[in-house]
Amino acid sequence: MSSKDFFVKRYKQLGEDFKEVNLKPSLRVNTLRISEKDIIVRLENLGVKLEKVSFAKYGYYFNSKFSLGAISEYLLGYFYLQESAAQVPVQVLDPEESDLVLDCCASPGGKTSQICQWMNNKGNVVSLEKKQHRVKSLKVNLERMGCNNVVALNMDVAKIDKLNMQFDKILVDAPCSGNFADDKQWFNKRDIDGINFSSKIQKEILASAVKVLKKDGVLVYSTCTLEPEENELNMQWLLDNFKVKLEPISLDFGSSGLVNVFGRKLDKSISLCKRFWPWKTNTQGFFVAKVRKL
Amino acid sequence: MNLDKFLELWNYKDINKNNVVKVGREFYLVENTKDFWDKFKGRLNVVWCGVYLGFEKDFFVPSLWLLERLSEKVSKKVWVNSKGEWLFICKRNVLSESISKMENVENNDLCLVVNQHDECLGIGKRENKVIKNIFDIGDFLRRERNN
Repeated sequence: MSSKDFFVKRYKQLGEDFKEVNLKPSLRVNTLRISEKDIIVRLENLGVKLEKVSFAKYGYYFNSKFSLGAISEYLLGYFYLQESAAQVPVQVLDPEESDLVLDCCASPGGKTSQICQWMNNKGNVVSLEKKQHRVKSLKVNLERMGCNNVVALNMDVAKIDKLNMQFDKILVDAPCSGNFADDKQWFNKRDIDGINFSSKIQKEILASAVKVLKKDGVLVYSTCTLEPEENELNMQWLLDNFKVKLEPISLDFGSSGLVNVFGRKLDKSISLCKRFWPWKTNTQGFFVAKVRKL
Repeated sequence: MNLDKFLELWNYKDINKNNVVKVGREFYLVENTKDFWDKFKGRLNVVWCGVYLGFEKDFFVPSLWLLERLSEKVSKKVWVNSKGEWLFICKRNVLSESISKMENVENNDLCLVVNQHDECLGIGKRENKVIKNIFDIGDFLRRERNN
């Protein structure tokens, strides 16, 4: 059995018929730097066709004959090139101006900058990036997007106790095994061992993060993978080991989280999570969960 | 060149230097992040803290934020058309045919290079009819690519 057949069979067991997809490129308007109305006019005057993403507050699909990643409007931080589903976790976290927010796996900074946007550059965001070689991308994007309320640290979330702080809201956009929708070679590069390894790392990150979340605080967990070991099964593990509950996500888009994974019955509240099957949403594969600490 | 000399060069006085900290070669304004700085400095590897001002090398490289603040105060400016804008952010000099307006810029002066939307694109130096590119905002991309 080929690697692709292996994964397609798994999706079938989860009730889904695999289909290839062609993703539409998308961007997020950065209202810290420009109004939505003004950037739309600027881009349309350049010949860029824009279409609102129905489920992402500042998201637009675009069609352009030239690269948007080198024009002045990009360099001035008026928008961030961000896949539409990737715009969802911060929207679900919904950070406010008075919050102290932790972004556990920050580079390249798309979601940290989105958190700053939601907070109008007020409050504070602590961003962690474990890998030194990824810090430069984070900093370039924080500068470009006009993020002024961030403290970024080159450190592993496993050492988060050193901060001696508790956070109102935490984003764990976890490193994951990815998905086929934006990587044509994905099936050839992945196997179940790699997925289980990612799942282990994700649990470690979640355990560290939950410890520094204030009581009644909100943690949003997201991945860009379809594999249940990195999604619903991690949520089951979280429910089994910590005083937390899952909450509904206000988003009229995506499918419910799975509560029966390869014959294993999970906590019913896991259905409150959202799962983006690419052939249904025309996005990359995605998973998002909203967790509240009890 | 460090931050102080750069600000003196433009006669810019609106930054409270008591709230400026240095992280390696970089400068940050920590007005809204001072508590974090005091708590973390020397103990954790802080790589960003508040408002980024720029970094020092032969010439001080200002941040986008600082360029915008300068643009609000500095009168020496050159406005460029869209062709000149594109070339300038690609690290090229501005030729006379791309200049749509120039204010208070004598030969050999440093000046801000501005597009038709009054957005500052970087710093130039007038050398007769040409504005030599000293720094432009395309530097973000070049820095990221050199990562």
